[in-house]
Amino acid sequence: MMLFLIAMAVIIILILIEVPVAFAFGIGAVMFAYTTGNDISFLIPHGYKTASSFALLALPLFIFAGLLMAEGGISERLLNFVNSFVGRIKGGLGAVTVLTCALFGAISGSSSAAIAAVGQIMIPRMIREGYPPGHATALVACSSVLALLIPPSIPMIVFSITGGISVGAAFLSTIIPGIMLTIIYCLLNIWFLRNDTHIKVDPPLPFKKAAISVVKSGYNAIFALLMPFIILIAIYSGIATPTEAAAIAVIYAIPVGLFIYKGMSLSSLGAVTVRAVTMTGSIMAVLFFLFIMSRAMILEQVPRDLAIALLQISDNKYVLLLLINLLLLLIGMIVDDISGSVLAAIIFLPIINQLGIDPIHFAAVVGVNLGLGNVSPPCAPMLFMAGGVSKLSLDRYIKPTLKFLCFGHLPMVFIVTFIPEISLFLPKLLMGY
Amino acid sequence: MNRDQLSPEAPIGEPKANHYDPDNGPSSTQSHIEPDPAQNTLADYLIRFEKCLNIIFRSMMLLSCLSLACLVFAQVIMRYVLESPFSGIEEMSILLAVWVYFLGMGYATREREHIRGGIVSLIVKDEKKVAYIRFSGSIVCMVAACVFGYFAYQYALKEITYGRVSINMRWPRGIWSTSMIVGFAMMVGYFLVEAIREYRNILNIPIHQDKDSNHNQNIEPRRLES
Repeated sequence: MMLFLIAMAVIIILILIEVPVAFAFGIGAVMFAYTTGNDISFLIPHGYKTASSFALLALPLFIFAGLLMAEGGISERLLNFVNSFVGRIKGGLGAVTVLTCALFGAISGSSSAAIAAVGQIMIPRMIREGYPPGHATALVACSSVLALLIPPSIPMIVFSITGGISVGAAFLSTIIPGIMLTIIYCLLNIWFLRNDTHIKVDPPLPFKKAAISVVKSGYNAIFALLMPFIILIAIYSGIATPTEAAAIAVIYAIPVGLFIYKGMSLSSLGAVTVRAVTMTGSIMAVLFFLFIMSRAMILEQVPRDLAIALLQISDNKYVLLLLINLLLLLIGMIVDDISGSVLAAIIFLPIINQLGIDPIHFAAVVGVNLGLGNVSPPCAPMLFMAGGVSKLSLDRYIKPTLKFLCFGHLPMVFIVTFIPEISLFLPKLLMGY
Repeated sequence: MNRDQLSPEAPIGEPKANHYDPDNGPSSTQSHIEPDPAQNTLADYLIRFEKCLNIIFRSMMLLSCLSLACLVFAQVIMRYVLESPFSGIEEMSILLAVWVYFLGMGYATREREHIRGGIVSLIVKDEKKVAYIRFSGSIVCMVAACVFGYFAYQYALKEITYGRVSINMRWPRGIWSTSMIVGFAMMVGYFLVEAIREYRNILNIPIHQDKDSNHNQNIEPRRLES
């Protein structure tokens, strides 16, 4: 156990000095296996064999489909669609941002894509309309993690495959928490800005004009809005596996981007493909070395030892869940969401099974916790990315971010953790889980 | 992402949007550290060689990713429309997928797209110290990639020499595992280039130069990927 802790310390130090996360885990895994007297030559073949799973093919295909849709020019259409509903109330532009991030997440499954596509348009627009720049940045950063909760979610695919649970059920488990968090962020945004007199709001349209605007923008966005439905219907009707549904999404997104939205040319299709492969490569590198690390840990029975250590602290299910939540938050604060979901599956899933907690419920707990970690310093990749878009320093947007997290995301973590029905309702309803 | 970054002419290791941090907007990559081809013939040849390799890698990535999507989609069509699923498709999909993964890993090194955490630039304000830390990181990664590449080579060699073949297609398993060797070789090469770049960066930063003053001199702003 001591050697494992030393290896983890080395990994954390390497991550903090900006060594790629994948290599930090790779070096830590080799070091751990070597010091525990295991043969290290089997590690690479193990990582390779685990990565060669058919189910994992969903990952590059969902990434590819998401990038194709983003390149095809959906952001502006989605924004106009949502804007036609809530754009003309005070704080409405903030609500548009949150809802568009949620919709974008349902299409791309990537938080960084949501920031890049929605943040770039909405942060300057919100600032122009009188929103405090720090508030606008914090709102985009916090809303971007909705992409982790609303399927297709890449971390959920990774968690399910590593933990050996149903990808479809894991997707469903985070939908209700995702929708609830979307509503909470919209309301918090309006509440925080209620006394701000600098915000400009367009006068409301008469009902008939508003209805025409909704129909028009809905018609423009229909092909983008259809994509998540196609994916979900394909999976839950049993027509296709998640991997095949991802391929269907790719084949759907190419003509939509090329011929319907015309946001993409043949040359940009090539560029998007290369970008999808590169993004897949960066995620797969992390997974590859995490699979190696997990093998080294399992050989030394580290998950079992950790389970025993945790169970010695308390045998109360709720105390342990709180403790696991805290550890997940810490993991989320240090590593990215993909690594976090693999670590959660390796380290905590055995404990969860021992406690009699449903693994699908736990998938939702992992999703909301890692989302929180992604916007919590010190590493907070999504927070800093949003800061990069708005060109503000951390001190300008850390306070509004903490307000959103404390009043929005943190209570959601507790709700999801202690009310399992929220995450299990849809899997039971649609899959008879 | 700026499309120029994806063109074969794009310089290696351009910083990306996911490198954002609050205090470090501009990149540490300096245009003046690029070797002048007219003055350095060897560097000129190496740059041309890298460009050729880059075109090959990009073509392979393009082909494997698009084929993968078409193949998995074809599986659904064959099952429902032609009512005759072909089990070899799964095998071929995995072949394409492993090439996508490892080419992607190598190319992510070139593009500095690997997922990174880190708070170095937040807590260390001396640009030279940051450059030293980043240089050390690149060297560590290159050595690690060499070690992993060696084991990948051993594994692939074993598969080839034992003449292992796939179950359905009866294709040599070496085609699958060679992807690992290519991927790790790319990573070693590009981490080496990154280390050289970081080293040149160290040589070009005056001692105790303040980051803010450095920003205004010769560093182009970090570009935002979209």
